[in-house]
Amino acid sequence: MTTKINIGPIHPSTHGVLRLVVELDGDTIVGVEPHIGFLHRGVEKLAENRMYMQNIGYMEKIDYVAPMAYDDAYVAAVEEAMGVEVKERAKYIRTILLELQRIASHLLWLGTMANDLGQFYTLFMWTFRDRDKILRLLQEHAGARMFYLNMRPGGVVRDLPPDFEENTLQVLDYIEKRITEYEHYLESNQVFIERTKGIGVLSREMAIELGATGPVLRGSGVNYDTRSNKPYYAYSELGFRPQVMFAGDSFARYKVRMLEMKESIRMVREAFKKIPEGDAVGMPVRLIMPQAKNKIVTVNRETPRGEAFIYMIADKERPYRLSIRTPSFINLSLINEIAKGSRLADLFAILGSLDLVMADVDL
Amino acid sequence: MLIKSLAKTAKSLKDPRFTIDYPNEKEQLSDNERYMLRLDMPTCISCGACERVCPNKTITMVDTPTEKGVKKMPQVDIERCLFCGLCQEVCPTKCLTLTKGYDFEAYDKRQFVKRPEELEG
Amino acid sequence: MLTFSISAIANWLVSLLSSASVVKQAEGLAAYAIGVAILIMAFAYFLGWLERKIIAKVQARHGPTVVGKYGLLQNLADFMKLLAKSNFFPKSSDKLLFAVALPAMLALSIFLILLLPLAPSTGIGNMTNGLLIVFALFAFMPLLIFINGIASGNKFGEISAQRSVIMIMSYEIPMLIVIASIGMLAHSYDLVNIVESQAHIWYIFLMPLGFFVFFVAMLAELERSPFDLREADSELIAGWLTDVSAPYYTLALFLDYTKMFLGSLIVVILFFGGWSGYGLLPVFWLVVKALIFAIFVMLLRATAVRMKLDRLLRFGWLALMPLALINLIVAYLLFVM
Repeated sequence: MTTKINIGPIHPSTHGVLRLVVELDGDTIVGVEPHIGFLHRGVEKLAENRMYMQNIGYMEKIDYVAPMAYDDAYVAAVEEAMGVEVKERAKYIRTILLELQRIASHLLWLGTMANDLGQFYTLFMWTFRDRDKILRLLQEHAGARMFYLNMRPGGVVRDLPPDFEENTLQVLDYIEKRITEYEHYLESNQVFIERTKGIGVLSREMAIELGATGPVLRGSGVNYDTRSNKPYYAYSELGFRPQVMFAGDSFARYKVRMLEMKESIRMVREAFKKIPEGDAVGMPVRLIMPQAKNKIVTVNRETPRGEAFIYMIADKERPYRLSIRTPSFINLSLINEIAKGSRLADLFAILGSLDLVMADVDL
Repeated sequence: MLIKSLAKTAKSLKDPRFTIDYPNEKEQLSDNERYMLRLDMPTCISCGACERVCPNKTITMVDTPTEKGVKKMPQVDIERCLFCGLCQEVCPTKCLTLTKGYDFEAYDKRQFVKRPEELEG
Repeated sequence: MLTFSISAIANWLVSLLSSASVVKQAEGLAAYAIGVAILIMAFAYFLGWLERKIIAKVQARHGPTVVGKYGLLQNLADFMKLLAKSNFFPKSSDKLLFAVALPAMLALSIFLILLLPLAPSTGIGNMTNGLLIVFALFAFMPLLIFINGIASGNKFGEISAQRSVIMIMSYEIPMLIVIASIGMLAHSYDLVNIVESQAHIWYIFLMPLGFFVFFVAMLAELERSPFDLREADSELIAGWLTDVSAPYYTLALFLDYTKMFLGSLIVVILFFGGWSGYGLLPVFWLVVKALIFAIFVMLLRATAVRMKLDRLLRFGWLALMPLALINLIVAYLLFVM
């Protein structure tokens, strides 16, 4: 005899507004049904009535934890539609900024996952302190802490400030030490290991069949990363290697993200050594910009949550249709398969390890 | 089992605090911050580019009395503004800029529609 | 042999109330009780403030700073705000039980602190079985939690109350075994005698294993991290406190700190020598040691990850109880024989 309980849209720990109808048999989960749509804002429709560069304000607010990823994806689509090439120095600058954004996003994920497991906000506050240092670096360059709007077709809005490299290397040294400390802090805790190992197992075949992306896919043993399979900007020159774990449980997904943070730190240091001199400033925004030449453009990017895919049918001055496939939407649909057979107390640990952002789900 | 974590917690008791005591101490910002708008009224040529580029229909051109007669100047609705900075980038005379001031509060919602005279300075 | 006739009892009561020495003794006890109750409430309030400031310092932020100097009046402001809100009972709840259960738990906690000796010569006097009386009354807590859960009327409340009760009842058994070994070491169950027999060496050095078992079991009884299933706000919102209206929530918050004070006092009396120390008043030493222990419990709350129920029960039955029995046997072999 199964009962259904409703874990409602307003809940302290579903990372946004998400309604889950959980079917329970005693204390074991038999099925989970997510109801979404509470945060739908109609970004794809709004984009049809505005010119290309007026849309970047909306694209950033799709994923409010790592806004630069969507900013960059959309501006890359516009560049391809207009037929504009990205300048060499701008490629390296974009790579550096995107990897810094990835570190910041994974730090926030770490804090909220520890919070879901029952820790009383301690790790949350510490990771936010570290994330704040990265946001201050980006504030010097872009002008704002969260919604940067610093990508323009062909480059970035302005070059890096003169002491950016020195400050960044200092911050990276500090963050590398802190990440190692957080790993020891969590992994020496027997209760954390028991609550994540063997919980929420996603097998390799199911991950490929259901379309998982990002660290969820790499935690199940599939060696696929957009940065190495479909490389863009400077990733192939920096020697990027995807981080893969084979167990498929929550612990493997946690470990993949920690390893990704370390890999990002290494790549930013490497990029500062190899960055060429030159001009990096892209096209400024004017009322009349070059018209689109190519009709249909597609862009694949690796956001911190997974692979984002933009498909745009470009009219002369504004997109005729903009379609965005966000990674969190697909990762949320895995919850039914992953959570079968585990207890109710594990449901939030599993949701935490999937790293969902509800604005990314509802678009 | 928890000894290492507890030792780390106890050691972190002597770390300095990271939050600032807001009304008494304020944050230092860089120079290209995008917060409150500022209009330099003598330089504005009433071209209307800011109104046309704004994605959110925040700016409207309204009649404003100046020394040289009645001209049209931008009026900004702060509630709808995204602070994206596109209007600053399109302005041909650079009279509309975004400054570092982030303290704007009001008791009444209608005070958030800033007329061009209020955007000065 | 029915000597319990109604008239006999009535005569006894009247003679009790009219003799002068009993009245003086009753007045003295009432004054002591009221004074200590006010002091306990002040300490519970102080522990609430201390927890907020210490956890804030660990997390690299200020705690409350604005209300009162160093934020001392913040909790008072919170309590006053909560008490001023409207009180209502949910429709499907049992109104009488709901109204009575939380005040009863608070009254029980304060009563238990009154039974503990705070200095060598105050209070109830030497009760021959003081330790057993305290723990016998302590065992009423699960019953009151259960009543709270049933009276709340919704299924989250019942589930959460059941989990709390299972946890508390399975952790009481190791605690009682450790108490038996303490009674064995001190050759009596009188709390004053237990403290005085620690004058040479504290029991924590004689029975470290017993201290570990008792400490973990006491954390489970107080429902603090890592055993805080009840307030698992990432699982069942707030358990049986979900539908409680604001004035009763005040009692629940207060109860948390009163129970923590009670637990700290018990641990300090049983293992850390109670009020022994040089120089100053004995009450001062007792309270300082209890505060140090409470700070340790707060740091533990900031670090620990919450345990799941099945692991908790397995830990209690399969790990703590054998350790408590081993402790009992070793203590018998080393110190009594």
